[in-house]
Amino acid sequence: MSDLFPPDFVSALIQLRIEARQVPRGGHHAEHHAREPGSGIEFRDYRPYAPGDDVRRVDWNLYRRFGRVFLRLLDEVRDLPLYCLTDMSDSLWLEQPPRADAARRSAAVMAAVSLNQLDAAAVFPFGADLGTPLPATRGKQNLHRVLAFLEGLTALGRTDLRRSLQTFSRLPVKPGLAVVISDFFDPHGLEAVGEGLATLRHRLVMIRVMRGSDGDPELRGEFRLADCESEETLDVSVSDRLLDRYREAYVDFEGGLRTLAARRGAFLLEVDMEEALLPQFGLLFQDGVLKT
Amino acid sequence: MTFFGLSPLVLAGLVAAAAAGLFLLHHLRIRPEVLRVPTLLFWREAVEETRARSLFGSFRHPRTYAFLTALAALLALSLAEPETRNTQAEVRHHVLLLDLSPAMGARLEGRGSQRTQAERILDLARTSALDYLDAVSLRDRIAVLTPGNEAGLVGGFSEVRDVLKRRVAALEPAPVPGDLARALHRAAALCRGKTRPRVVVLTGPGQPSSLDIQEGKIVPSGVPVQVVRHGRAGPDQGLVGVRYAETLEVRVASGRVTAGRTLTVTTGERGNLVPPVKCPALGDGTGAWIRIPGVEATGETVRVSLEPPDSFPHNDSLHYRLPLKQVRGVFLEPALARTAALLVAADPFLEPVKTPAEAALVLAAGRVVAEPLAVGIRPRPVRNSIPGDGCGEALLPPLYPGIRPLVPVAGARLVLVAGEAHLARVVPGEPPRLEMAPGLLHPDGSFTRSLAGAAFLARTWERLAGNRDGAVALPEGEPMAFYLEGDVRVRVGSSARSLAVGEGSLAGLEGLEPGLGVLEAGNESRSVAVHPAGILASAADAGPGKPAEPPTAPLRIWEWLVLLALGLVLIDGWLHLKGRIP
Repeated sequence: MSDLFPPDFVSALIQLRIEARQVPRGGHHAEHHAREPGSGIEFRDYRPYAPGDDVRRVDWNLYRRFGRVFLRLLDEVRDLPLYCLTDMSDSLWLEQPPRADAARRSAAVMAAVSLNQLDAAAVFPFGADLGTPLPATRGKQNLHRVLAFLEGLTALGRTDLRRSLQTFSRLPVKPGLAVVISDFFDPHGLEAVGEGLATLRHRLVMIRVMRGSDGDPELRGEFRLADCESEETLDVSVSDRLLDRYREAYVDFEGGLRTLAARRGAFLLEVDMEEALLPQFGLLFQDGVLKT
Repeated sequence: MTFFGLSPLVLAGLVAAAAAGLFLLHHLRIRPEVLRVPTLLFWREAVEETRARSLFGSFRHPRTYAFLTALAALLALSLAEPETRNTQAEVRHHVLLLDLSPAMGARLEGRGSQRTQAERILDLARTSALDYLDAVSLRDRIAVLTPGNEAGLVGGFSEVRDVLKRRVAALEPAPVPGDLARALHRAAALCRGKTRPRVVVLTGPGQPSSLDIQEGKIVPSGVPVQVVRHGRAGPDQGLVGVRYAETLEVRVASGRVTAGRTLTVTTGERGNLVPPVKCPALGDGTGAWIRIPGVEATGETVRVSLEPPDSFPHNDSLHYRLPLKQVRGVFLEPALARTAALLVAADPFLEPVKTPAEAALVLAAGRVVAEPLAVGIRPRPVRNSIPGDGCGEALLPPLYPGIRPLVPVAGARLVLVAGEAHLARVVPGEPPRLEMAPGLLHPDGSFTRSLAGAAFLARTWERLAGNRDGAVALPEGEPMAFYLEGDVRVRVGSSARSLAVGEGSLAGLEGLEPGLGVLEAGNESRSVAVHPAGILASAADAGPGKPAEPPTAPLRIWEWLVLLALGLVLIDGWLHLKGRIP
């Protein structure tokens, strides 16, 4: 295992699981119970026979005892495909350690949970557009494959969430759980983020990778700020007044992002990369379970 | 572009100052620390409002630095007197008038016991002249004159600059006082037709100088004149001038005359003409005319000397030929009563007056009565003009019948003005006045235009003034300023002729008093200075000890604006450094 995914981190991943309130029809056998009964193994209930029902599911023992025909309803267990849309734009690779580490670890967490539950997990890195994805994989044995893919990711240029998510939404994939992992620093602002998220047909989890210093930079004096993605510069004389204005703008951004998530019915997890990662996921996996 | 008027040393200093300024600006420029950030979203939003409140946006960008550099360059250009192609064609012409009168040989005061080795006033003036020669652009032309009996040309405009310097360095005080008026007119003649002329007079301390011995000075108009006085005379200066009308007067030069020295007046044949006159003690930096009555030596050469003599190189002795008293001779004309007027009527003074005009002199202070001459009486030209220096044989023009004598006003000088057909006289009892003759000097007359004519007029005036009563004619074409010794208000005016429509001469002049004045007529205006110690047109007294200032253009309005903008930017930068402006 690498420094990015140490053994203790990997071992901790198996304790988490996702419980979907609703899984899409069809798909593969997995551990998510479908709302409607299906052709699983576990018994769920009986119901009177109706014409057209499959006679193979008639419980003949009950017929023998009560003289009425009941159908035996079994639990339908399906999979919930997980799509990890991981932001690999330049802004996530700027500092040391880069935010990309936290983003990749977050993707690993989500993918591991999904694989643990026999779900399909796919990773879609993006920057200016979607990058080369890791196709859907299943089974715990493929976790190393996901981790290796995540470890091999590199910077993908500028952030363009709208374009990337639109590209993703055009892919012929089964509805599932989309996890968008990003700093959401789209140069076009929150509007572009909202437009991108609106194109997703999946259940949504948003994981924002942040630093504590993002909202409260410890700067003083003259600086030429350079956008790491666009290389645009901005000369500023950092004063208390300017910092106050900055904090106001940052708080507005945070509030706007939360509003977007709420409007979309998505979970929003803010991961501070300067702190331990898994405890922060406790907010997402309450009692070890993410109920989507 | 030229750095006109800047010596190499000053130029180097300016360049160094400019370099220091740029260096300072370079350091004033804020060098921000480059910081890469994930996004500029929040910074841009925060900065937008605060930047709008800063004075010039900010002092943070190289473009600002370029702007400052451009400002500095503009400033340097403005100091360099940038010249366009048009102005380049106008080469400046300078005439240096270096006073070489005996008073210039005076040693400077307070130079210790070795007074013979002490610096002379002339040395200062000469150094000033040499500095001026160094400072003036090589493209410009300089001529150097010395006011002597005949204004001496040390070097003309075409002279090589180094040769001029050598000649100036070799100049020594002359034994006799010079003639400023003649030198000025010579300078004016040199400047005539030249582009951007300028005359600089380098002389000694203000009051006592050989330049003052003429009572009337003529400064040609239209030529800027700067008078630069040097040094402060020490004590025991010598004689600088003698004049003689009815009473011999001796001018004692600048400085303090030691009590106990006496003035003696002798001739070679008759010895002492009068008993020695004891010099009064005079204050520092002053001079005085000392009156020696009873000297009867008209036409003779007398020796006026200060005794006991000393070893200083100033004049302790002057040989002076007392002039003939031509004016006095007029007074004795049988047809006229004594103290009559002099009518200057000799050729070429009188030229036909084209416009018969009243000889009412507009600016005469008093009442002027015009008296028509008898019909048929016209001026008759005579062949010989009045000698100008007063020392030669006088051939006086005949007086015209009908001219009646004037009764002199006590203590004043009367001027009689005559014309072709009119005679104007000043009514006795009126305040003293100076009037102009409409007919005597035709504006277009050759004599009026000539330097010799102007100089003659000056001397005539001087002579007449010395004889108390007389007449003088002033040329109209050349505005001149005269002054009368004593507390006399001078009014300069134009003749009736010059008031004729379309003449365009100077008119409407009045109230010229000692000080600066402006002569105006129509669209024309000229500045003159009327000063008790010397009449100088457009001249500014640089004051004692102040060096000659080569001409430099005053800062123009846009240069001030550039300076203002530069100051504001510097203040802005300073405020940024101090963190006053976010």
